[in-house]
Amino acid sequence: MSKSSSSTRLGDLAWSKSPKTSSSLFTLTYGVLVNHLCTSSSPSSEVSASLLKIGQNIGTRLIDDYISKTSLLNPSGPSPCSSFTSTAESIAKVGLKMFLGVTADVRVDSDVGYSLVLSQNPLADFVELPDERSDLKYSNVLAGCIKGCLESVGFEVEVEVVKDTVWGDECLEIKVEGKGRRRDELEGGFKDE
Amino acid sequence: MLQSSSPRTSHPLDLPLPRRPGEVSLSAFTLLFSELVQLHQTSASSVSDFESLLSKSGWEVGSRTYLMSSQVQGGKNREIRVLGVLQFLSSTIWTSLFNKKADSLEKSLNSSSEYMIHDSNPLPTIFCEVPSSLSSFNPASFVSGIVKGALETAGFGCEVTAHRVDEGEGNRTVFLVNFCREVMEREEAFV
Repeated sequence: MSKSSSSTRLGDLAWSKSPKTSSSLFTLTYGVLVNHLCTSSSPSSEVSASLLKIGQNIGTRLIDDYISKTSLLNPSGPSPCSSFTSTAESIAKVGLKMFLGVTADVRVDSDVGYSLVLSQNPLADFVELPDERSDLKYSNVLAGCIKGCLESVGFEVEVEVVKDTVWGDECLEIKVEGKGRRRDELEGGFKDE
Repeated sequence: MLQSSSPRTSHPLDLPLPRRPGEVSLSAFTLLFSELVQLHQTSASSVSDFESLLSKSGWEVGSRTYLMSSQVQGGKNREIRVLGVLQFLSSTIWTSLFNKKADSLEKSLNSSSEYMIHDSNPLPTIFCEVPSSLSSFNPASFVSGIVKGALETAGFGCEVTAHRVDEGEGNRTVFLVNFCREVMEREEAFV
């Protein structure tokens, strides 16, 4: 419990210190991006995959921002991504808060999996999916971001959007499943002579 | 099929418009913008093509922001004069998108149909560094698209170009708005 409230505090602090911009610019720009991908007339599954890829690109950069800010704000705190289960709290209460100003609830599904439940979807203001795109994973960029971030700190994961407000669900649910650690690169690179 | 059969809990049109816009962090937006730029860069064949794609994206944002801002204003009369709509643009729309007003609005001395909007550091370009191989590319063309989208949706046909001004620090940019002939004829009829 105390761990959770300290994450919340860290998230609030990081949010209050980060420079901000209006969310309508953000959501509309994201809408334009999705629209651009859709007009190149590829099937929804391809658009969803592109969004995941875009999210991953963003995630690999966001993680730098995340680690530098959290270690500045909370220098004595525990390493935010030391274990797979601790990443859930870090994403839900600090990461999402720091970048999008929202927090998520964590539901632990198993030892190697958890779900993040967001009561509101910050990307989906003003969004309505047309019928022919009803299977589009509109918020896949968030899944991609989480995947990119976690892979950058050495966790192999599968991330999937399972519920979304644009599909008519009452919340946005992102399922994160651990597939093991990525050790080889690090061990190879840091061997002592 | 995915949940398409389940009834929508709330349609976007049924929701009230936010009176006060929410906020997201600047890093989130700039990284997203960078992805948009990269996406257009790969599909563009030339620098001018690249700028027009980016400007088209901006058009969509500007058009929607105009519609939203004019609703949030509480159904006041819509702007029908050139100066009125430009002021609405450089104050209300600029604030709802960039959290600040444009630095200044000027009328061109050369032509009665030309107006200039100055911004010392247009938000989307804050962290953009243009490589020398693309030196003629201006990322602020996204913002010029926003300006064009908002003005055209308001019923003021125009061409908008972005020009970097090399003085002082930052990406000082001038957006040159050139209203089309019909708009200027209409404007003269008011006098």
